[in-house]
Amino acid sequence: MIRIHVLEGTALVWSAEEAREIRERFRLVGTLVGALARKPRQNAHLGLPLQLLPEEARLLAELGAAVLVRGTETQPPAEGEEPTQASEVEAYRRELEESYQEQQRLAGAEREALLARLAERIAQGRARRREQRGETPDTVEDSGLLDSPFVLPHDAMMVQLPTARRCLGQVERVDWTSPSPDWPHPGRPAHEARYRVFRELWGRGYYLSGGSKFGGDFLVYPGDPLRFHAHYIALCCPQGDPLPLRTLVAAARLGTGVKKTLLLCSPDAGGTLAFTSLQWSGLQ
Amino acid sequence: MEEPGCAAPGTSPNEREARGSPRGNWMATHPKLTEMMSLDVADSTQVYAAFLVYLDLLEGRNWHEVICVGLAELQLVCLRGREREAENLQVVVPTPVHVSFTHQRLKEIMKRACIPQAETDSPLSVILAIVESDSTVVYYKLTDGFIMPDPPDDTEDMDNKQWRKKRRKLLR
Repeated sequence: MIRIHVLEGTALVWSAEEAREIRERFRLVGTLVGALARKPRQNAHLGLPLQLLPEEARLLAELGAAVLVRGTETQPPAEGEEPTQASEVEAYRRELEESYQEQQRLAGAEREALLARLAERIAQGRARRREQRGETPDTVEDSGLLDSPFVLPHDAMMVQLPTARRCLGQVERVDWTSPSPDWPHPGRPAHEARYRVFRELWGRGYYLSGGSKFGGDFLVYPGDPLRFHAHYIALCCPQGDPLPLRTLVAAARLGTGVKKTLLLCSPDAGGTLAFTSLQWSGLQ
Repeated sequence: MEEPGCAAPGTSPNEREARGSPRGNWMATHPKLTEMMSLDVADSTQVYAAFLVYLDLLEGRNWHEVICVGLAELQLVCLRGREREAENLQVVVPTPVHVSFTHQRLKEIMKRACIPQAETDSPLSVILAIVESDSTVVYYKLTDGFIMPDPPDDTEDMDNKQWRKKRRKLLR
């Protein structure tokens, strides 16, 4: 069961396996919004958590594939919990020390190998220096390549930063059908309208993602967004909501500029959804 | 060119008055505009917009022929015409820019204004002609259903040098 963590209306998935399952099994893309531990100062490539649209989270909950959870207040550690934490700290320190010893051994071995490879050149260099200084060549000294035992300095050690959380915090389930502070969407007309369009388009086999970058509600892809450009910018028009023409022109113009068709979506009289495509006419 | 309202040199004041008010008045007596108004299906702003689109299609875009049709149920004057002699008839729905449409109304317009096509598999489609307050017209095509956009051109239209530069920057 996929766990979707909700916080003030935002839906997040923290597990890498679950994020992958969501994409591969359910055709839902989401957006990665977390900083990468090794490359924090950029946002071209981001990592976990995966943020889902409210519509995506609701779809997974409706399909019974996911539950919405929220973190509960962290309790101060009870009497019995202290030793557990201390033992974890001890274990971590032991791991670090073992890693350090291993790295020192490997570094030492590598250094030896390197010196052996360059032994001849080092000897030549030493002999030349001795000649320049006017000393007699001393073959005994030259054989000692390792002057002092090798010690790997502690700050040269490589440390692994574990980014997976060792133990999950306390969570409680959230009802996705009724509004709450952390999941306020159910019942809101705008959300309900968008969800209907989302469900219909998803049901037709499209991949969908957020469309706010293109002035619309959703971007509609014929396949995985990693492989295709979007074909449509979907704009949800709630029934009876008048569309000012200037807005329509702006949206259609933008769509033409980025080579996508604007798709107006609204519920029909019969309860189904109606779609209208809007394109620049191309009249010269 | 003569300024509106200005008399040609050598005419008397009486003649000037008889000539009439500024040149803009030629519109009011244009037979097509009077024809559209006589249809009596729409308000004056929509009729005026329809007239401007009519002129733009014939004079500006050089369409082969354009006729006007009154749609009473929609309270619209719309135009039907063809771009070139050999092409199909297209429906153009003129509207002033300050009007708002619901999606419902747009669908209704498409249903009623469209010419029943001989090939039933082609979807309903109209051209929405939006007239701004300065008389410029923008044309957008509305089609029922999903119409895929044109595929992006490959690197032919991009300057090769610019394209290579972009790719190098991206891959770095």
